Amino acid sequence: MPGSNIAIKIEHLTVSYQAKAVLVDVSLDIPRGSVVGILGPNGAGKSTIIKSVMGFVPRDFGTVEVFGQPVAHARGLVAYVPQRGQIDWTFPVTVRDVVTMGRYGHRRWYQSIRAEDRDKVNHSLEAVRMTEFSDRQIGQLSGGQQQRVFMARALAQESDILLLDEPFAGVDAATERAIAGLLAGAREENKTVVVVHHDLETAAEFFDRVVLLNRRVYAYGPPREVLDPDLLSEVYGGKLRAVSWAEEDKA
Amino acid sequence: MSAWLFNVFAEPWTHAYFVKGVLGGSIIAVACAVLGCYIILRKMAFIGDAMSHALLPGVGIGYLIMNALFAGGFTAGGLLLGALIAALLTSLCISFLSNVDRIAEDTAIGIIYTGLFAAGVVILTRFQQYINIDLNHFFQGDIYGVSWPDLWLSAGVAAVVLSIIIMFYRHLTIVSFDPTMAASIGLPTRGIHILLTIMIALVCVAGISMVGVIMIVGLLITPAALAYMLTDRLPRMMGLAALMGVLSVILGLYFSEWVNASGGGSIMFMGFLLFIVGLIFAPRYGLLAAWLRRRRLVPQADLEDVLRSAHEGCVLLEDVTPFDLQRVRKAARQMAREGLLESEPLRRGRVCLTEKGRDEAAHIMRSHQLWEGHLIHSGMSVEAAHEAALELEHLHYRDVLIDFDAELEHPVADVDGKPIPPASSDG
Repeated sequence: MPGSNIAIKIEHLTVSYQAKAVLVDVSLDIPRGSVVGILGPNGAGKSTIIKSVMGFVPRDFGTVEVFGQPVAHARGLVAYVPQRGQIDWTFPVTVRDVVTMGRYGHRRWYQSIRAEDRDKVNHSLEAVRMTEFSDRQIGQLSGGQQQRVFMARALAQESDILLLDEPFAGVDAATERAIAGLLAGAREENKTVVVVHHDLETAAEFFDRVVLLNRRVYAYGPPREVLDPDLLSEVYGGKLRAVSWAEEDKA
Repeated sequence: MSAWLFNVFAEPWTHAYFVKGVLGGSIIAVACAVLGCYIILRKMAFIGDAMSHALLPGVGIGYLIMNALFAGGFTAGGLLLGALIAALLTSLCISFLSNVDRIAEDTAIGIIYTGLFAAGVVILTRFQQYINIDLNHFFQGDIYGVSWPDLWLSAGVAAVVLSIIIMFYRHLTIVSFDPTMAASIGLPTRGIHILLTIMIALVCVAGISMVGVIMIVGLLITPAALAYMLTDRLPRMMGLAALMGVLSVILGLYFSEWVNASGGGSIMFMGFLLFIVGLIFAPRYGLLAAWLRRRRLVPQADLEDVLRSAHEGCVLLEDVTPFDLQRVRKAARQMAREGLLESEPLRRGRVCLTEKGRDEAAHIMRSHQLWEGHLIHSGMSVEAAHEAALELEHLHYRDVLIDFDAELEHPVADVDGKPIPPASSDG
């Protein structure tokens, strides 16, 4: 496969914090234009993979390349949607302020935000149907709306790669549809999307490929192959609550 | 009367020391307040604390170096150099100690600022003849003794700090709000943190001769914290903080004239009183507003009882079950305000749902019926299940209902044969 078709190439990535292994020999090729879900139990290192693609993680071993470049040179190619819990929702910024942050990377420090940037911001707000809330402080929104604000920011960044950390956690049905729609839209624009996900039931619906992770990669491929009940119970160590569709499959 | 007014309010302005105090104090208060907004949003108030104490050794060493370089010393240069040394000392010590396993951040700060301060006292007392700092002055400042060079120094520092904040507003804001994203677009987050630390050191060194080491921390934190109680917009927060800082200075200096107390102390005391007033009366986030909100709050369960009782058509207030006139009335009024009930019939004691109310009611009914079904499914008698569901229907988390729905194999009618409304899209 020619290198340019691989958006993210992770080879033998090994990461530890204070002598505790977080990722062990993780290798993944993520093709351009694919929507990939990372699944695994708590503490499996899912967020660490995402952070390593942004180049924040001190690696013990291994390499991470984005479009054939080492991550350190890939800044700006990647848009990141943080977990809701990482944000200070009392911070005095409005919805529009947050989405505008998506344009900062396109301007040098001495350049001001231009009309073109404002257009992109409006367009992104429209895409997640948050235009009418644009002057609200971000704490005055529902959980789903908050999630959509950060989706809009990622859109405004116009990056080729989107990294989303648990975007579906605790959102309402409308937001779930909005996010799913955005994932589909990104795929059409040949963008590469990596999503940390916790819900096994919806994984097959949202992703082209899934990674089953628990410190190491247990499986990587199309959801139907990877989400095998035996494999799942091995990865989740029997702590898995009933996975209804997996049971239906057996019946 | 007018003579009294003149004496109280205008007379102080006839003294050069008062005018200079207001001027110097205001300049430093504005710089502190605007910078303070970032400090409290980044939750680094403790760095202000540590910094102000580290200034003593910093300035001591700065003076010694300037003495060695220039015959007779160079005060402003000594102060600025001292600020840089202090900033360096504080950030190095804190980042080093907070990486040691057994030392928590608060422990590190306790150790550092007493340690550095002690080092300062040792340096000062040992080299008394070279260093022109009075310890008492260092603690309290002397706002009425502000010299022209002090005034120029603080004006210069304020200009530099405010210019940096205006120039790098975007960067400072995004690094404070979402450091991960900031780093991912290639902003130097560490460099920006150091820039903030240096700015804190600069305003501290400029303000210390006026209000002293403790009060300068107050000027950094208190007006910004007060402004944060009042607004949700960062630019407005900065403006309000600056205003509150200047107000503290002016009120404080009047106060110190009237009661003949220390200028620095009076300024911070007024700042503190302003904060307390804001804390209580802030329109949205103040204690009083929170208390009123809590008092007005109607328990969700009461609202849902009204919804369930009226879901098949208008009923009288008395027919809401379980009935408690006061609670039902309060709930109904609240619901009319939220557009769940028609307000015209309510005035005649009738509860009629609006369309929005009917949607909500359908959700509650669905919850009630699914709970009932689930309880019967798990072996409870129909009567008991009905009673229990009246309590449990209020727990209508989406996931729970989806589970029950699947367990009962997507029922369309409940145990009495009544249809179950479909799941709402925005559950």
